[in-house]
Amino acid sequence: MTGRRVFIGLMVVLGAMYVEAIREVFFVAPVERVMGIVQKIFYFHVSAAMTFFLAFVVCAVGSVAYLVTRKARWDALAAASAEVGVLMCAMVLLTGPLWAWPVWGTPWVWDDPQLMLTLGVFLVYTSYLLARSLLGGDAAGRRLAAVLGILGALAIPFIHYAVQLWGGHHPRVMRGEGGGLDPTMRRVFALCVVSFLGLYGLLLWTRMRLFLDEARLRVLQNRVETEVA
Amino acid sequence: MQQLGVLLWKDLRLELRSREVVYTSVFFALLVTVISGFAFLRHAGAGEKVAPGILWIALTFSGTLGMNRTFGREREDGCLQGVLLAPVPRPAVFLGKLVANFVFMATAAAAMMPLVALFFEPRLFAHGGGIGLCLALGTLGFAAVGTLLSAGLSKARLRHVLLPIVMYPLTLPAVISGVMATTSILAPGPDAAAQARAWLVLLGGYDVVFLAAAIFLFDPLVRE
Repeated sequence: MTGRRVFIGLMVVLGAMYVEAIREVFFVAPVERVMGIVQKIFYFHVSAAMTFFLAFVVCAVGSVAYLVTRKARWDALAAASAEVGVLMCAMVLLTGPLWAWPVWGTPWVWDDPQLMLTLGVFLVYTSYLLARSLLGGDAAGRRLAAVLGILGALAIPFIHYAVQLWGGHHPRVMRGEGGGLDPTMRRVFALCVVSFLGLYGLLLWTRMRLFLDEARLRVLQNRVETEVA
Repeated sequence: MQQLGVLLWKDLRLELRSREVVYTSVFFALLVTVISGFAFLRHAGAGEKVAPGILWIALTFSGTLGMNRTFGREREDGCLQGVLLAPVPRPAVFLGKLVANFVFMATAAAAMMPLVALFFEPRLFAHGGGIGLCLALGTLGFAAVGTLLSAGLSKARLRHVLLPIVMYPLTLPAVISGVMATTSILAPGPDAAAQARAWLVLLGGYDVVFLAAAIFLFDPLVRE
């Protein structure tokens, strides 16, 4: 019961943080000189991007731990983290074009390294989730999912280098990030990052518990069925 | 090493008798090439632009087709269980399958490269060595990931559907660097040669990392 209270408490705090983050993004942070109001999307866009990288690293860690220990909670951690990561990744892929259309003049380009990296990573982990859901929850499926989680993390640096080598035509200044961030912008951005990491943690917790409850329910179900038979 | 040879020879002999993987892969590659021809080439002269892409699409698509059969044969009558229970180190089992897959894919690639060259880009012949190296490296990376994943999928109900779905995103870096290396090799100038080298290094690095990971992960993947 205390777990539930802590959870609700954290949810309230996080909700307040998001309200404050949105307020600061629009009313405290200065409007960017060149890109104007469109740049505001960057606060959530980049925060979500940082979160999905963390989520996929956690997925790989959970996968390794599952293969070594074969404990269900590590598998649940990997699966839950990948789900939240794909959600964040989808958010990055949605907010990116919203920003790029007015700033670059086109919603999508095939030669921007970061965009291609995000797309590649999105495909890797969407296929991971798809495989998980189609394989079912048996042990062989969980082992394969763990292998996919590890290979996915190994693929990320290669996709990164490949798209770096491929692109390299895009003006860096246009990306709206880097060292020259206004101090107020930086503070608001930090609040957004912390809010997103908090959201990630909370969703991860909920989803993991759901996974473990589902597994427990399956065990009970099997027991009832065998006892009835 | 000797055990690896025995396992490999078993798969190669099975294939030599039935020729089902090589025949279907080569014919499938031909179909992909012809469909690409109809899809991309209404005007003469576009061939050189799309040839590297067509080559790699044909390689990856036909590769998955053969890969699906790797453990297909073993599944019948519990052969896989038998092979895994034999007193043979797991890496040898994996490498036997991997080399067999590599040989099948390489055969298909060797058959379709002249085809793509004749249809779209005769200059592929002139750069045969470089393109061959590209295809060999790409095939190795593909075979490493594909063999591992098809081992994991061998008992899954939807394995035929799932293999390409999980394999293509993971082999994306190999495909990107393969296509780009091929394109750079065909392009003239020292700049392009340096580019080609950079892409080949990336492709080689992918092979090393994923081959090592696959050898390492095979045992935990198949161990109950």
